[in-house]
Amino acid sequence: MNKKTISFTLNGESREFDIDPNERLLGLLRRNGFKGTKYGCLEGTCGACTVIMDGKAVDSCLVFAFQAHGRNVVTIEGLGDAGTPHEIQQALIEEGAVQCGYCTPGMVLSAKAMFDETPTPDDETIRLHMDGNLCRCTGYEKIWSAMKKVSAKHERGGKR
Amino acid sequence: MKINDFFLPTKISEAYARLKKEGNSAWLMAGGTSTAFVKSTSPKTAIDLTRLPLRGITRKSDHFRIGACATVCDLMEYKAEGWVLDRVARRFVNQHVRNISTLGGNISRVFYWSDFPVALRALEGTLTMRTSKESKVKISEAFHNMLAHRGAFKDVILEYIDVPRLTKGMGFGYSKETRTSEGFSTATVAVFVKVDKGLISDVRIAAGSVFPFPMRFLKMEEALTGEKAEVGCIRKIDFKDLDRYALTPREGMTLDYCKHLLKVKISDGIAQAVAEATGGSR
Ligand SMILES: Cc1cc2nc3c(=O)[nH]c(=O)nc-3n(C[C@H](O)[C@H](O)[C@H](O)COP(=O)(O)OP(=O)(O)OC[C@H]3O[C@@H](n4cnc5c(N)ncnc54)[C@H](O)[C@@H]3O)c2cc1C
Ligand code: FES
Ligand code: FES
Repeated sequence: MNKKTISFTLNGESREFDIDPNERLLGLLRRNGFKGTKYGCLEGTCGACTVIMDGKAVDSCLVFAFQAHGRNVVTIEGLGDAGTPHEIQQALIEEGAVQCGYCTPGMVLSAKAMFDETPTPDDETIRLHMDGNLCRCTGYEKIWSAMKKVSAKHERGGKR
Repeated sequence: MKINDFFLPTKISEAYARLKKEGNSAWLMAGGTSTAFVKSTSPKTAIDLTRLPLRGITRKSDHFRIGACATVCDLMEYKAEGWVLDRVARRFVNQHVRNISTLGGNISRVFYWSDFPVALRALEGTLTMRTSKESKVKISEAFHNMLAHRGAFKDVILEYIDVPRLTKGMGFGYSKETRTSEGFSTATVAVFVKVDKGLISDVRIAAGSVFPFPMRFLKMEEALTGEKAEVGCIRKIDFKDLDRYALTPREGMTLDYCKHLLKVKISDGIAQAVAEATGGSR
């Protein structure tokens, strides 16, 4: 295998990785312990593997690892944790929007990319930004309510 | 497709020199989202185009100049009078794919489902390409040449796409059918109309997905030219003309259903374009 070294910022830290030129970012992250990035369809339709790259939500199963060189990547491990959830995670908990939880990291990251860009998105913006994430359990209603809750909080001038 | 090496150029000249050096083993890569659909037995060296200065969209007097590496999301979010590609971008798969797929990638290798080639066949415009020297080619000509290379550009780097800026009296219609919101198209139609003194003076109707490569309906265009610019002009079209084309209905569709779908989509596209050109709502 023709190994190469790349570097990028991962969850705020500058990191170097040896990669196979043919490997995808999803594989690289998971073999380095970032397992909140999930395997799903592996073809760009489910969003389970979502990460944020340079501010945009992308499917890490579609992105080659080398494409991340020099970029800024955020995975779910870069957000809150059980003790101190991020406001999007908190809203999902409050709205009961998590069942099996497999889609949740991807949902949270798509929502984060959206709220970072548009703190108070209208319905069309929410629909467009979240249309790459599938959820088999919740029927989406509660995820939608959680998004509206975060938006309403921003509208009131709540902490972001 | 297997990538066994990669190169991350920041200058177009560097990318082009590497393309020449690698020959058949070079693989120009923009978003890279098409690689899953391309079968190749020999390993490739990827030449990443996304670090080249080819990302922006600029408004010129009568057209927009789009860098080949502008993403579909860039096209969706761009706002300017006379800009219509946001309508195509909005119906493109999902946000994650819109965030990395580029316009250049979408038109440099055309699959039956590719959305932007259909829109660009209707809008026309020009492409700026880097070969041994920079060259400008009309979109219709570029697509025509592409057919000789199995629907992909060969040995060129697409740099810019110039599309017309719609002004008063012009209209664009776009209609795409999918089975699920993010599914591949089963029929895509784009229509450009220009109206002069209440009459249609120019019209281009293009369709994709029902063909391996997007096609124009020249007879239908002829039937509309010179007609009054109102929705009723659709009656001037003889849809039996569709029988002349070798349509490729998508999985699960009969030929009759495919023709019917196309008829509805063409009518929708014309109605939208005429309404816009005559100052009505789309
Ligand atoms: C799940 C999924 C669903 C999709 N659904 C649709 C759909 O409904 N409609 C649709 O239109 N598309 C769809 N696509 C995307 C489409 O298939 C293309 O892959 C995409 O638009 C290509 O853009 P890219 O930037 O990723 O190009 P790449 O994959 O990087 O490149 C595409 C081709 O163009 C060449 N190329 C790229 N840039 C240049 C350039 N500047 N100059 C010369 N050659 C170049 C490459 O060598 C390659 O042959 C889908 C993709 C996925 C993953
Ligand atoms: S695993 Fe990447 S989109 Fe499904
Ligand atoms: S909570 Fe189970 S897939 Fe969404």
